[in-house]
Amino acid sequence: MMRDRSLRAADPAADWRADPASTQAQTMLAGILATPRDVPNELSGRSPAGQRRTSGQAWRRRMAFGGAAVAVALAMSTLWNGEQNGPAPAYAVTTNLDGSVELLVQWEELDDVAGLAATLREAGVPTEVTSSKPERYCATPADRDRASEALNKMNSKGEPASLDGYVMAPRLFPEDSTLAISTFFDKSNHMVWTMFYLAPTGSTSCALSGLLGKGEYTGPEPRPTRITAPDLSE
Amino acid sequence: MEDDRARFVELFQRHYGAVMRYAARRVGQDRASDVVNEAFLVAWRRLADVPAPDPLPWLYATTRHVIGNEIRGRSRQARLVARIGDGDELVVADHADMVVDQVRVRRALAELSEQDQEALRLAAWEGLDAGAAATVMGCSRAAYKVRLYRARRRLAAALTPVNSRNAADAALTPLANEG
Repeated sequence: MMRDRSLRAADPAADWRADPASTQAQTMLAGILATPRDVPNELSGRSPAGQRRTSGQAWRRRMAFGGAAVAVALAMSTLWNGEQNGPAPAYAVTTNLDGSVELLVQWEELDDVAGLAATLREAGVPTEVTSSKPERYCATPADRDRASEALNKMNSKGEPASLDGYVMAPRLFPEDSTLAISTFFDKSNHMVWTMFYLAPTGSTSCALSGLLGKGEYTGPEPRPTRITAPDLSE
Repeated sequence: MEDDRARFVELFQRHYGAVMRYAARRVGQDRASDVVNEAFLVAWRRLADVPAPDPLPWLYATTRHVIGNEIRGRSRQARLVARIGDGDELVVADHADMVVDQVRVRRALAELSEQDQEALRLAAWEGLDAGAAATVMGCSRAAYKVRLYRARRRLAAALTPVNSRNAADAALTPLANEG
C-alpha cells in the first residue's frame, strides 16, 4: 500500500541505532539497578508511570577528596558502608549529638547510591535519589542561601566551606523538604554530574537550595578546558 | 533478587534500542533518554508485571504512559506536535523529492489526533502486529484494527488535495492485514 510505504519512509528514527552498550545506556542501567524497588504507593494503579517523578542513577563519579577536614565534634556514631577489614569504604555517615549529620564520600568508589540514601535516611536525613537534573529553583535567592546553610557549611562568600564532605542539619531543612541526590548526564558537555540539593518532598524537579556536588567529564579527548556547571532557571 | 537483576539486565540490553527509537519518534532524540529511563525504571520496579514471553509491547505501553504524563504535566503537547510536524531530519537529503514527501507525510500525520497517530506509528514505524499494537494502546485487537483503518483514511485525506479526495477514498485498500 502506497500510503504505508510513505509512512514507513517518513520514520524519523528508522536509521537511528541506540546502542545498549553505550556509556549512556550503561549509565542508565546502573542507575536503575541502584534504585530501590520497594517504594510504597508508587507501584499501584494501571498507569505504571503516572505516580512518580524520581529515579536513581549510580554513574561513576569523581570528587576532589582532600583539603581541610570538616570540623565535627561530639560524634555519636559513624556508619561505614564497607567492612572494617575490607577495601576502603565509599562513604561514611556520622550522626552528631547536635543532630547534624556528616557525610564523607569517595565518589570513585561509590556504586550504591541507593545504599547511601538509605544510610542517610537512617541517620535522620530525609533523602531521595533521582537521575533528573532539577529544572528550576523554587525558592527565592535569600531562601536558597538559608537552605544551603542547612546542607553544608558556607564561608563568608556563600560558597561551600569544604568540598571533602558535607555537614547537614536536618532541623534547619525547610518544612516538607528532602535531600535530593541527583546524578545526571549533560550531553551538551559530556559531563556526569552528581548534585546534592534540597527539594520539596516528593518533587525533586525543583531546588530549594543551591546545588552542591561534582562532575566528571566522560567525553572524547581532548578534554575541554572550561566546563559550565549546571544552571537552573528561576 | 539476583535473578531479578539478571532478568532486568537482559530485558534492558535486548530492548533498549527499540524503546529508545519508540520514544525518539514521539518526543525527539534529545528527550528520549529521559523518557526511556523512566520507563525502564517502572519496569525494574514492576518486574513481576512485565510479560516474560513478549515484553516489548508492555515496554512501549509504559513508555507511552510516561510520555503522556510528561505532556500533561508540562503542557508540552503543542511543542511536541510541532517538533514531530517539522521533523527531525535524519534522512539523507540526496533525493529532494523523497525528503519533501517525508516532510509532507509527517506534517499530515501531525494533523491527526494522537490516537490516530499512535495507531499508524505502531504499525508502520514499530512494525507491530495488531495484537501487540492493541496491547500498547490498551484496547482489543479488533478495536485497534478499526482505529488503524480509520486513521489510514484520515491520513490519506490529509495527504490528498481536496479536489481529488473522493477518488483517493475509492482507491483505499479495504482493511489492514496486520496480524
